[in-house]
Amino acid sequence: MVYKLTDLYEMFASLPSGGFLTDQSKLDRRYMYAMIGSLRAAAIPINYKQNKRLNSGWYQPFFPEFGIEWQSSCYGSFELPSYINANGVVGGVGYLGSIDFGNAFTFVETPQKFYAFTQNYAMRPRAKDTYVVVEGNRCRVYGNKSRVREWVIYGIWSDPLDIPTYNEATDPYPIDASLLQTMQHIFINGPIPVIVKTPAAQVQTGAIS
Amino acid sequence: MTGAQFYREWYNAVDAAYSSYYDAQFNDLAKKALFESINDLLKVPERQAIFDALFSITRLDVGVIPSSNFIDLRVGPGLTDYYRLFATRLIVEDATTYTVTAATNTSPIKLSLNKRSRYRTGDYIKIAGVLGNTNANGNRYLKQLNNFDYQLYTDAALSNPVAGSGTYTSGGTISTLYDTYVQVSNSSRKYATLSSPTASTPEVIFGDGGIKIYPLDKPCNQSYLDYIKFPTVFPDKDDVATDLQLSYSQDFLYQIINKLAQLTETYSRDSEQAAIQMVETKTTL
Repeated sequence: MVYKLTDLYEMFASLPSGGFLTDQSKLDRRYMYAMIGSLRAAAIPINYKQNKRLNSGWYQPFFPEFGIEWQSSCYGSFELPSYINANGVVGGVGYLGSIDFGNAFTFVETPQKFYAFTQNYAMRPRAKDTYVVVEGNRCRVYGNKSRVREWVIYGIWSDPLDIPTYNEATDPYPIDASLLQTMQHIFINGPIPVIVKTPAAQVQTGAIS
Repeated sequence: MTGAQFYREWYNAVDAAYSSYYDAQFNDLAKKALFESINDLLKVPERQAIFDALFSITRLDVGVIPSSNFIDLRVGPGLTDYYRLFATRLIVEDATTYTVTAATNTSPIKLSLNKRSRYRTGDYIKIAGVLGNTNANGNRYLKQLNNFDYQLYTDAALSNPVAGSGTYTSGGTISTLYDTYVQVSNSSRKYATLSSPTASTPEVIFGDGGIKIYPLDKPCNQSYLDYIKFPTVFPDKDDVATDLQLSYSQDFLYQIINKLAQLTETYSRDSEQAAIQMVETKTTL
């Protein structure tokens, strides 16, 4: 089952309103998009804890634009959208590499680890080695620019709407059926109280202003 | 039902003693009853009842071109027949950083963008500033070929291709066009940052004699309104030709008659009380 964000909006906004969705509803589209993003971010660690698997449907491709232009022999860097750590150990960033280059880049989680590499003779990066170093939400990419034409990173991003190539009207929202169930459970019963129910009178008069 | 028949129905609904007194004012009272009946109807929980009663005076998808993100609803300078709003659909522009790198002189034109975009088949965009192949410019629907290339069409069904008009030389900027129904908001919600309007989720607020389209910095050059038009057909007790059912459903006409009877009785009671008070005042004096 493929869910689009626009479908999820109607599905979630209708839950507390008893099936009516009108322009008088306080559960407006922007509010609900943010709510659905939060629910997804909260549901992923829960589902991960249950079966220790990250579902492939949660990933989205991200095509970075380099903020600092790639130096010919050194590195380039770009902003990384915030991503979800499923349990603090397993990172939300999956495949890192170029779409026209067979090898994934080595993912180095911290700058400290990378600097340790550089101090170690055996592990020191060489001309052909390719690394991605994450510094907060900034990514540094070490490698040979001439070997990479376009970059792609698959990740479980905190907010799918942060991805510039994501089209909320046509693209599937990065969730699967089990995650949807968890999201609905949190929404109705969980710590996020639904105090935004539309007053019945406003639902009834609905779209008429 | 003609105006004369409407009058007879009303005559039957009120105390006959009142009728001669209100004959002269009948048409004015009937007009007032009509407006009050519409307003009563708008409070009815069953929304289908509204559409059933007012379908003849409801207008759908009326194209209106906003001026600087504003639609004038006043009867004179703006829409001539506006009364109450049902729904508003807007086409709002949002500038992007995508630029055109090529536009083939074929039918349809194949447009190439400088980077991967969020556009998919069926998306609606505005192209401006293309030189050489100037037919590419305008509001266009896209058919996606790959991550960078798209074919251009003039209709959402992608049946009318845009043919090239020359060799592309340079230029071309892209704006996304969001075609969406909007939420009616109000000024008291302007404080909300999470819910502040965007190009993809615009809002309209009533004020300044019309509706203002937010966000103000995202141009909206086309709108479509569903609304109840201002009633122009009113019961006339001497009219034996005009069929009121061409404008209002029979059920709704009976609702107006009931409302008119209530108004008549209310006014009569008021005038009786006024007369009693006058007598009491004179007696006291």
